[in-house]
Amino acid sequence: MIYFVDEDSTQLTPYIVELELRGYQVVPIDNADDAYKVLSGASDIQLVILDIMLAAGPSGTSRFSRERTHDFILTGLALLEDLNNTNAAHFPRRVVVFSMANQDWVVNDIRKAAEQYQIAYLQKRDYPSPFGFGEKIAEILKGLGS
Amino acid sequence: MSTSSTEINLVKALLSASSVGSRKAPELILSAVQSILNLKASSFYSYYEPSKLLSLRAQHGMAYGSYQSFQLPLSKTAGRAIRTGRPIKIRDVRKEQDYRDVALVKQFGLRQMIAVPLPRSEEVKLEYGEINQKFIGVLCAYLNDEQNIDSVATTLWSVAPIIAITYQHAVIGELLTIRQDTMQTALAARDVDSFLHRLLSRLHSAWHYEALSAFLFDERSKTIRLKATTGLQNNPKKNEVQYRLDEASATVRTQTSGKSMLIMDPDKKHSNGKYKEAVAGARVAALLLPIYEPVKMEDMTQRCIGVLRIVNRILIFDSRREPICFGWEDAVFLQFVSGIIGVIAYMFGRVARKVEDFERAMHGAEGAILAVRAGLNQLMERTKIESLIDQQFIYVIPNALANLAALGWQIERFSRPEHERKLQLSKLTLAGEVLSKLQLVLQSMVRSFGDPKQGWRITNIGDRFIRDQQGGIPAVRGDVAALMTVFRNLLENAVKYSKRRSVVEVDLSWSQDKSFVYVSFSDKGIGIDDADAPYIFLESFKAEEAMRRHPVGIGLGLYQASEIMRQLGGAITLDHHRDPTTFMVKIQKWNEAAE
Repeated sequence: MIYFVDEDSTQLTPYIVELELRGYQVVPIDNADDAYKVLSGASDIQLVILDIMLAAGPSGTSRFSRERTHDFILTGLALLEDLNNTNAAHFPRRVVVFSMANQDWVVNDIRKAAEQYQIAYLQKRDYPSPFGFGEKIAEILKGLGS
Repeated sequence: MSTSSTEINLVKALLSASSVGSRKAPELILSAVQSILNLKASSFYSYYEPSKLLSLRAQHGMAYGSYQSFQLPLSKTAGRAIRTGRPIKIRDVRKEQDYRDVALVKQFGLRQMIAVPLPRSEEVKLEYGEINQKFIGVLCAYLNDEQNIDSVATTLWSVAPIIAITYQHAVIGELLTIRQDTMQTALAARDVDSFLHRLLSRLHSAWHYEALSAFLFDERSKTIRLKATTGLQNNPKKNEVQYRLDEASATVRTQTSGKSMLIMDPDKKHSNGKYKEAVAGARVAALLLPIYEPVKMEDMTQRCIGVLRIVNRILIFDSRREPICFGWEDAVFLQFVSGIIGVIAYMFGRVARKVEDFERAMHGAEGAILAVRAGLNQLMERTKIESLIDQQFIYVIPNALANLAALGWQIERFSRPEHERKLQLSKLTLAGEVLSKLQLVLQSMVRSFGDPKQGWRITNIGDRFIRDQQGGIPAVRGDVAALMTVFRNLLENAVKYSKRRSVVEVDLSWSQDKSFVYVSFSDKGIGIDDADAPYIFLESFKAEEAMRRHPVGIGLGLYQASEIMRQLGGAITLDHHRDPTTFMVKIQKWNEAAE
């Protein structure tokens, strides 16, 4: 199963379709708290495609605070950190960051995390072609042995 | 009352000293006094009541190197002038027990001395400090042996208020210089951190304050964080230097009380302080000043946004350098500087928030553009596609374009705010020209921001209601575009913060009194937290729940709506926080006679 964690899954339809055409089962999740609930105990994870600026659940019930996520600009990194602690069998290894971030400090923080966890960081603007994106994901999955 | 020619000559000579700034003025004052009164030597001390110390500012006819220290306690002879509030006449300083600098007496053959307190003039309005002390300093005059001490003391005492006014004006001149200096520093800075860094370096090198740090309060983490420093002991990482509001610390007390604080000998009183400025020798005194935002004109309130910490004033005379406590001029000067820092930090903060808003909007716009490109690319890349899938990505293109158009409107709102243009006030039929258009606006908003499968409706004031009741709603005084912006912003919030998978339902109703029409706007969205409610109309505020739902995109909607309504002579208020969330828009009725 490929989990596509992104705030606006509607806009990602072409990418999801591309992956489905390649035979993968794709589950879109549009909120960091929902993603944590699903992924912290999941055992069928082939890959998690993770955006960084992510919506979160209502305060009080959410595990993500505005302080920790820098006003929800870095929610994805906080989610990744939490998943590493709860589902070490799959995280961080089976994660690909797929982000539109353009601010220098955000890009730097993502790069640092990607280096630390040794995961791929794909910038959305480099993949206007869903086919090219599908090829890249297939390559990553092959590297992971899936 | 008669004025002697000596006094007139002295006043003339002093006039030139009032315009040279406080650093040079004491020397010119002494020069004038000494030449006209034919003195042997003289010295000028500044007095700062919270420290109970006199600080040397200038001397004539002696050598700086012979002073034991550049600072005197009130127990010494010159201090007695402050304590008694009268000139002190000493006929032979060699026999004076409280006279400290005996080396000077021997070296320069000093005998007769007069210490005159300088009474603060209340007519000179500094407006920047809490200087309520009665005296601002002491002038010590050393007479030639043949001079009559009583006569010179009478003259000096009569001109003491003029000397004080001269020096107070010179301090104001210094403020103008630092204001110019600070503005130039701000213009050369790229953000608040670099501005503070440059300013503190300048205060250290050009104005001789030994060590300085600037802290600003961080709303997000509720901590007071270091933004710039000339150096801290043990070189901690800048990002890690912060105080929580529940910590026992003078910095926290200054932030929470909003009051300045002078700490004498801080190493003794705060030996376990968390962060200390690095200094070459002893820490003689620390001054902690609150940094305030500019006064808000709406309610005349002012918020403390940080703390400026300064350790030691450095006096340099000839080749001698000595760290001392601050004088009253330093307190005024540094309070003035902290006031400018407040204004500039506030302006940088506004710019930074706008840049962040803009970047969030651009993030959304780029996402929408990418979706269009991806959809079109997929059409080209995949020729054999099942009909179901085909429908999915055909759908995404208009959706993304609608989203893009809405973001374009948001960016326009950001760059050319509606409330900053000149309003065109005229007689409006509220129902026909504004309310009747809201159905279409809501439909477009749902397409742009809502769930594609989401339904929508406006109840109470629907098409039929408008048609039937058009004559019932009185004409109002307003600007069509501006009022549309107000309702458009309310509709946008209703859609963006609707409960998931529910119908976006907006209820509009109206009422009136003698002067106003009231439009009640209710939605059944996620509501507004009680804690957030007081702040939702502020420019800088973005409700946490709103950010959680939509990290992408710009806020400003309610701030803009309230600004527009204020300019239209009406208002917008939050009447009910949730279930439903109700805003009341109060619009002036058209008054034919008044127009």
